[in-house]
Amino acid sequence: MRSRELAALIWLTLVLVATVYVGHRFANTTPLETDLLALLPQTERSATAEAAVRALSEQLGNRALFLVGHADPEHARHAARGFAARLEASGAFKRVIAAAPEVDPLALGRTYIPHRAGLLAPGDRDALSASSFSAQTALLRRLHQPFQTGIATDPTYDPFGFLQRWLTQLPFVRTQLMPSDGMLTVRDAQETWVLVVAEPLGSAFAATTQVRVIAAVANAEATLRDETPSASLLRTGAVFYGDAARAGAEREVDMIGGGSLIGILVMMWLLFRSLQPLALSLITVACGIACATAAVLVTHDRIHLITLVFGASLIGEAVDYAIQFFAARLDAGASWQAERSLARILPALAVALATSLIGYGALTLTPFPAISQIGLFAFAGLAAAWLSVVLLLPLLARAPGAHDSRDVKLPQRLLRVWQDRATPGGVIALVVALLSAAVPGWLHLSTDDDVRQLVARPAALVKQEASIRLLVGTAGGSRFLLVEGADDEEALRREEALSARLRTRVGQGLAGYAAVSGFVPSIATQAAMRALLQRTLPAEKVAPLLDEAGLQKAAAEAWRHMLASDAPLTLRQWLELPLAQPFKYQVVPTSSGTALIVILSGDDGSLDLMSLTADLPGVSAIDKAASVSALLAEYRRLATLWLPFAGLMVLAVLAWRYGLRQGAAILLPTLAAIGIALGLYGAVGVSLTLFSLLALTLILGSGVNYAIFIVEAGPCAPASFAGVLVSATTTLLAFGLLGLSSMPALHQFGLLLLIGISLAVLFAPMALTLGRARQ
Amino acid sequence: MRRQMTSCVFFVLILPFAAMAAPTTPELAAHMAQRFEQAPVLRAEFTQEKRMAAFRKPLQTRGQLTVVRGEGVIWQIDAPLKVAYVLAEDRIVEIGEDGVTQIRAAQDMPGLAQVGALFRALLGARVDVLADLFAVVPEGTLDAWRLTLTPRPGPIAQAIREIRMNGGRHVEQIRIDEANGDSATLVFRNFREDRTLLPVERERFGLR
Repeated sequence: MRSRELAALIWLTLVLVATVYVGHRFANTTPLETDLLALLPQTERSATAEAAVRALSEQLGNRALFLVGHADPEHARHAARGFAARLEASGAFKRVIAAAPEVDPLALGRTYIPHRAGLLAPGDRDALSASSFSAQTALLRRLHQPFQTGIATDPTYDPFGFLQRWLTQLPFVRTQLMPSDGMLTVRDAQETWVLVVAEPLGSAFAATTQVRVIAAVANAEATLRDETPSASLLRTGAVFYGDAARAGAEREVDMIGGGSLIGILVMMWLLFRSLQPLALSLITVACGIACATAAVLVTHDRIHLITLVFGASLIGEAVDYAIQFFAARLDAGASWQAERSLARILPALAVALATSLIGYGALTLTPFPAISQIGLFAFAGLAAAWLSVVLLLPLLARAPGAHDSRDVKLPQRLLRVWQDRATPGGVIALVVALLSAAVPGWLHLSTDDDVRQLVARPAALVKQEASIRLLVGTAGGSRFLLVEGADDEEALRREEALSARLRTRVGQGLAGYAAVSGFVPSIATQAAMRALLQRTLPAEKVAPLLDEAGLQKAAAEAWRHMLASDAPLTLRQWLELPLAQPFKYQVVPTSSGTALIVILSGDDGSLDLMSLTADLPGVSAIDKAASVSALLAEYRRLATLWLPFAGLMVLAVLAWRYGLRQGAAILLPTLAAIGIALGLYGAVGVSLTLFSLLALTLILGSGVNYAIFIVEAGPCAPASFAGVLVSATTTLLAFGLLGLSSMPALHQFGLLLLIGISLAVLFAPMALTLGRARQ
Repeated sequence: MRRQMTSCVFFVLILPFAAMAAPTTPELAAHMAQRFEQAPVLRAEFTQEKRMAAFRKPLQTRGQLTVVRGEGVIWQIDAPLKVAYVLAEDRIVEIGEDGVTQIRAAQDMPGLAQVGALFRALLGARVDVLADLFAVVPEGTLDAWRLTLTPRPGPIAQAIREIRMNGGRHVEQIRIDEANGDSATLVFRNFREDRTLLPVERERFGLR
């Protein structure tokens, strides 16, 4: 059989190429994806909105924030300085900032003085427009005010204090942090907290960065505890979440992969009592995993953690084909002829593969990058494991096994007991009874589409982040507003309209907002402000007032010059300024103009942004978390519709091979299992998610395998039946371990698969009773 | 605060020589706090003289001051214009001659809150609060003290070079030297201690 050997050789080469490729990719930089945002699908209508979401997450995400706390402010500052110095010395960070940003009043003045005619704080705009405005009172109030509020300006250039009030109300920081002794601090009832900001060297989502940063922080923390035992440390940042997710996933891959392997080894040893089937089976699984990983890396470039963890649980299912192959050898005993026996079991293996692929194929169709990757991984992995069994094993296991099936009589006896007692009528009655018992559960089924099921967030980190948010007073919400315009001017004008609307809502579910037009108003607004000044405070009226107040002559001249010069501050000029650098991310260049991000602070979610901004042109409210939840809900509904369709497809495959009646008999145990699992969920009160529904399609695709194997083997093949039990055990072990995953989505997958497939295996012998065994 | 006071009493009783040395910052803080516990309301007249490069002559301001422990400060200017500022913990209220009030909440202007806090700390001689923002060097005795305040690095250091203040039972004089060479001198006299607020003062603090 030359062609057989040739096919095996070609397949072996392909697997080797895939293995070398995967090894090469992992040898360089680990192509692991730990970015939580990358797990989420694109949800926003426009590319601009997605770009804004990215810009925001990078701005806020790539930094690590620390608060060093101590009851004594001096100790807190000292401890924070030491902590920052050690982070800096570690070399893991691009920049470590412990010093408060210094607003240089002179530089600020130089920046804004030439443009001051167009810059009026909202309060001054109102005052100047009012009929009661008195220029003299305004001047005297400014000159005799007991304190300089915020940024002091030179009375020569700012006699009325308009610029001073403009600068003071700039939305620099809307936090509770106060500069104290050169550091940003905040006090709570017990402690003074000092802020340290660190920018990791490299992406916060790269494993190498994470390892370096975590080690540096642990080191600095240990020294902090040594030197100041009573100091506290809070931390937050994507790098910590990313590291926790990666470390958790690595642990789970080890646990699930290791657990499955041990399970496979033990079960197969019990059945085959020989090393050869064990080693060869594992080779087919390894081929499957290598090809699956290669397929994901080729198509997606990076492999998600969630895929890797799920992939580890796939071992339990991929080994099934090899188990059936060796079980057939065990049954054949001395009469084993590899090729002929393979030809006999091939249809069963083909049908089993086809139904599994129908189940996993559904996953590839979802828009969730992580889930579709799981689908692809399983698809490629199962297909490759199957091909390895079909192409390689007949050549590698030509000789009959060292044992025969005498040792595996016990499972056979159990099956006999079932066969002798069960009648088709009894089985139908049992199914009807069980399903009736499940009905009350069905009526109580609830659903859950919370976005949080996609990501695992360690409780300790979440708690620290909440404390930091509370202390610092930053926005915690995922909502923001996006203002789009054909050019800078239009975007700024639209943002001003939005700001006017938002200003009225401050204090009603909103503590404040940060808009770029707060720093640089539209040209139109600046022109209007200058006109207002020209009208209310013309040079000929102001000059005598300034003189009377005792100001030097230069002041009157400066006022005249200011009113005469048309020099508005443009968005582009502003973006070049050092003071604009922290806010640059709020300006998003688009293909069709300019987009501005408006950040909300203290957003408690009670404000209906949609209706608030509905009539404002170019303004859209963006809520990534809500969008993802909405998408989860939509696909949960789609999955509900897909399920019966997938059931029909599986039935079609079964009917093609076994005829409609026998096919239905094979499918029935799995359908009963799904029905009872759902009833259980409803009765216990566990909510259905998209992931549990996807798990149902997997139960449909993989649960029928056991009925297929039983029917194919018939009642007279003891090893094959034992093989079914071994297959089921390894699969259940893998999915059971998956149910222990800290990732909510995988946990839901694993749990329902465990329940559903257990029941499907338990009911599988029904297929023999209801249909006719194939001989 | 109470512990600092106890330690202060301890020092006075056990070590009578201590009075001969300059008081430490906690001692002075306790001393001033004790004064305010006896009479939480203090009224005084003030004059302010600012010398600035932008002006041909010094700028004079006259008025009255009310410091209330726990509430804040009323700074009422009588000449050359009439306007009153109420500095409370969370807001600054400006009341014009026409009675028009302008309220600025501290949370809207973080800088404002800090300036307000500094002003209240200066006028109330809250030495403990001042020590957060300045390096404080006390001299003299508890009954006739002088303080030199040098700003710690930060925004205050950019505006202020040094503050000197002196007093005994009360703050009597404050001189602020600004970084740009301008200066302001505040002189307080006619101190009157009280235990309760006048109705008009209660109204200004928004108390019923």
